[in-house]
Amino acid sequence: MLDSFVKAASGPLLVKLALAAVLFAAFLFLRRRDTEGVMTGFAFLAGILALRDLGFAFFPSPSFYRATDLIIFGLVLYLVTKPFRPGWALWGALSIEALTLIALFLDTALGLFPDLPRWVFSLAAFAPVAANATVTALKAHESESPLAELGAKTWLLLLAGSLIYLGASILLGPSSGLFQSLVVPLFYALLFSLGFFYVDIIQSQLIGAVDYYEESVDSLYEMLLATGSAMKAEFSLQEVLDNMLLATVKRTGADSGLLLLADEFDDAVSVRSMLGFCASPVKLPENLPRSEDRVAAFVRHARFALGEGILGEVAQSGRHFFAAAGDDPRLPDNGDEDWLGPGGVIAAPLIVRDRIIGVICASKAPGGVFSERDFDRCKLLANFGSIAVASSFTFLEAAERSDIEREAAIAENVQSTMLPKKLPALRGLSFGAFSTPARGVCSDYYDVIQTRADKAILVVGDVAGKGVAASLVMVMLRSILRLITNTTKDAATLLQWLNRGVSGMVDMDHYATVALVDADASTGSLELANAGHQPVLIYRAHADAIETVEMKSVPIGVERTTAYSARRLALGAGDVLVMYTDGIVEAMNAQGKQYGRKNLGNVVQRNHSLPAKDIAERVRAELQEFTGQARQHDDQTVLVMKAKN
Amino acid sequence: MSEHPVKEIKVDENSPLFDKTEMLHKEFPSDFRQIRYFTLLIAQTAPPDIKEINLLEQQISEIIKNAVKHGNKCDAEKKVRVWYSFSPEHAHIIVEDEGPGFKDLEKWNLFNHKRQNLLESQDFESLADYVSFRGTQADENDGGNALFAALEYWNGGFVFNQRRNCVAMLKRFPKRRHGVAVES
Repeated sequence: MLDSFVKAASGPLLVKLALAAVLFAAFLFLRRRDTEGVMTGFAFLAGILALRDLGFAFFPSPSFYRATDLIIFGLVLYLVTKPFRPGWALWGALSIEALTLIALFLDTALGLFPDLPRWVFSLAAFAPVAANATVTALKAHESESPLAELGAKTWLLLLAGSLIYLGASILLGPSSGLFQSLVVPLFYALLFSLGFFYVDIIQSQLIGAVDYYEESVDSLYEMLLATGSAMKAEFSLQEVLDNMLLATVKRTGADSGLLLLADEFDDAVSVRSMLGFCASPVKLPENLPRSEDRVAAFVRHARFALGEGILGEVAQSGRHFFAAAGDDPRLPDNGDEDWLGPGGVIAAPLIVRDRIIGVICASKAPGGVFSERDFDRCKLLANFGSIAVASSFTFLEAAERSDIEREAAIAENVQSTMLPKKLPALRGLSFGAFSTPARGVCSDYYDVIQTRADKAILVVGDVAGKGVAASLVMVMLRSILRLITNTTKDAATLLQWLNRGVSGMVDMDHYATVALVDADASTGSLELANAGHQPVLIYRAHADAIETVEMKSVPIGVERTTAYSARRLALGAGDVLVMYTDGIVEAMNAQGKQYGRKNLGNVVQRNHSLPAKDIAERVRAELQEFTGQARQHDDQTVLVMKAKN
Repeated sequence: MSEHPVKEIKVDENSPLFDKTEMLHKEFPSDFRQIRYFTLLIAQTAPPDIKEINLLEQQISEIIKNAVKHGNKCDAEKKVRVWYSFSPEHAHIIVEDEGPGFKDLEKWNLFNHKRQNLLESQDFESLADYVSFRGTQADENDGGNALFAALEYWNGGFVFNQRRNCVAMLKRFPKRRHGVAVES
């Protein structure tokens, strides 16, 4: 036995062992790149080869060699055909081998077939070789896995190599020096070359993947550029949608496309952008005339309830739709016209954070076919495009909000320009005022116009409406008042003129309540006129009581011919006159209680000894305390005049 | 039959729509000339988010008009009281007059019901007789048409109190949204 080993070792054994070891190492290395889990099998095969050679050195029986050949070819068959699910071919070949192995064992142990030449047993190894060649040649195109490609590329080489090996084994016998030192190492080299092929295939698939991703990144970049450039100063959602659709149609190799958005209020999606003629995914009504114009117009304005048709279904389920070619039975049949014939259709939902905001659809001309790759590209662009569309919505809402804010700011600005910066000082009379605008309302107005050294006209007004419209009316009121107060006319006439000036001038609402007091500091006499405004309050120092001066009348702007009346009053030393707007007495606290005229009167009464400015400030502070954090819906204005002691 | 139940004016003193908590309040004299002005005073508290503000103003105006004209018979001594509250999602109004109450309410509902049925069955010939409603108190300019529109507009309810001189109504504005939730 040792002799035979020494003999073998001086022969090709060490070369074969070295080859098997290299083979083992190579397959072990490839295992890291292997996604199909067969490289371990190949390494195992290399291990078996080494063991077999070692065993043959100690036990140089040709039958042993033939038996291990059967096992090795069976293993090769299993490994190479694994990705093709070979089924009967594998089991058939393995069964033949198993039976042969049993027969070989029985023959060797019991000498059952003394006359049979031993090479006959080697014939069984042709079964796995044939099965291998047949399966790989026939089924290689069915899978894109690297191993399948390996099978497809090398089946002929493997077949030739196996046939030579088996032929030599039969003709020369496994113990022949030529066979052992030439054919066996060559066969190992063949297996080794399989490893090289495998590396090559993986490499080229990797390059293909890199190309694909590069192209995807390009298409994303293109879409970003297209949708991004639409988000400029003249922002247009339509442009964003059009550009997104264009990029998608172009990059999927489609001929036409549709982009649909979910409705703001209803459970439906509507076509918002159309590129080319895209009727394949849409079921046209039977009675729609089959002319290109009519069909295009129908699709351009199509609307689908969630779940209705292909596009409605995508919008409801959030699942993609892919019909590679027009013969897909799910596509609607729109009639026999050639130009209406269906082509491939891809539809992908536009989803952002679990909400379906729309559907994008690419479609081929009649007869056109999409590939899986186009479908993947469309999904990718849809994912990315959804974000662009969602950002557009956010942008639009922000723009809308800022429009509202801007208008409010303009109105506030106009109002603050209208209000007096400084109140005049008259001998015998002092003034105090405050005006707090409510956000976006800006309808209160007050003014103290000094007409002579000892005379002043006090005005408090409240324009109906709000915002810029109200502030325009306020500008009118102020301009007219400033103009007409420089006369000797009485308060009632001034209101009549103001009313005529404002009424029917322009085609807009221009209602305002106005209270007007003409005060003479030298005599302490007052003339009071009121156009639908809150009653004026007077604190009477001698009685320590509040007097309410109510005058029934209609606001400015209701009727051009309204006649206002004036009332004469006297203001004694220490008396306080208070004019105010709705916003003061109707101010509401968190409990829903209105501030009321009584509270206002009480504050004035309690603080009557203070200067007019401080009385106004006390009113402001106490009102603030009353309302707390509750939001105020109307401007709050108070104008206080006090006769000095 | 119809998918939607025919809307009608309800009488329910205990309707939650009469809850005046946290509502703003104003009183007006029954002056027909000032209705537009009163309407503006009320609508000016509506937030700018409400898109169809003109339609809302028109509806408020009609209701105040009814109170001034049919309720208080334009008697300047009689007051119209209005409670109101607005948000981007709702408009809630209660209008009360000092009149005898809407006597023809049942008659109006019956009329409206027939009208709706005729519309439903597309019987346009008979519909000609149901174009406008004339109550016993109506004058030439009244068609009760404002109420047809009101019933459509105030989608959260349109309810009278037992005396029928006070009506509460609620409009819910649809919430704008982008997209629909993905089915789980």
